[in-house]
Amino acid sequence: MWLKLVLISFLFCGISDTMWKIAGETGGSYTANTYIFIFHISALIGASIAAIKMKKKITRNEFFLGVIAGFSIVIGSICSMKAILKMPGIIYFPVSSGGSLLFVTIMAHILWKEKISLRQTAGLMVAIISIILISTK
Amino acid sequence: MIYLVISVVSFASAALIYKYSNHINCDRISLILCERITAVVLLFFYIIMFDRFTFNPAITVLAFTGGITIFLSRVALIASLKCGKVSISWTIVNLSVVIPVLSSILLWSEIPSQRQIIGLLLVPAAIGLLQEQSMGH
Repeated sequence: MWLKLVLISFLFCGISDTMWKIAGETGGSYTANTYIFIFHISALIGASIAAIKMKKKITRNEFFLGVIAGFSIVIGSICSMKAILKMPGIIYFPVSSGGSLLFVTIMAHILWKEKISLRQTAGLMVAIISIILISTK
Repeated sequence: MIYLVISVVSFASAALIYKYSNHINCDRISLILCERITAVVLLFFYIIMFDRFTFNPAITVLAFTGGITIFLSRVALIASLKCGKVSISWTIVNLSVVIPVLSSILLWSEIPSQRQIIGLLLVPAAIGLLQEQSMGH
């Protein structure tokens, strides 16, 4: 079940990245902020429809965590756009993807004592190398 | 470099927030709803203050599709974190960078570099290595 959900997330995330790539080729960099704005609005519409259909009520914890996650995503988006403009892709992509994976792994170990097996450590390394190779021409 | 570090920490923090939200039994739709409301409000003010809106039909359709698919991706990701490790799930979702690259090859007949071909071939290997143990949760 875990793998099925992660692969669904992987697939949809990949489709979303593809839309971003097509938009980049269609509109150029001057439409980037508008793209991100509409992108978040449509995700908000999706979440709103689901919340209304399922008659969800927002608790205080969900509100605060959602607000923090929203701040993180927007700050991350703005800073990554500024970083791409200021540094070469050969540095940006490896540090960005590898750094994100390592940060999550280290924090998950500190916060929840997540233990990674030797095989999974190898998988993590292969994943980082793979992302770096794909992201840099 | 500071922008790059902030973007890495911000995006990774969102993944950690998703994991924490599962620990305290937050509802995933409500969390995403609050997250996207925050993102839309922040981006609106950011664009008003530092940029301008440049709407066009193609960008709107692409951004809308991208937003809906990222919403579905996040719902599946948060659901997967209930029974899997955040470090492993986040790594696999990050491997989705392979999908826009494959789309470029298939749709626009872009020729991948040798490095990208090796990276693409490593993706299934990484997923295979990472899925061990997490399936047992």
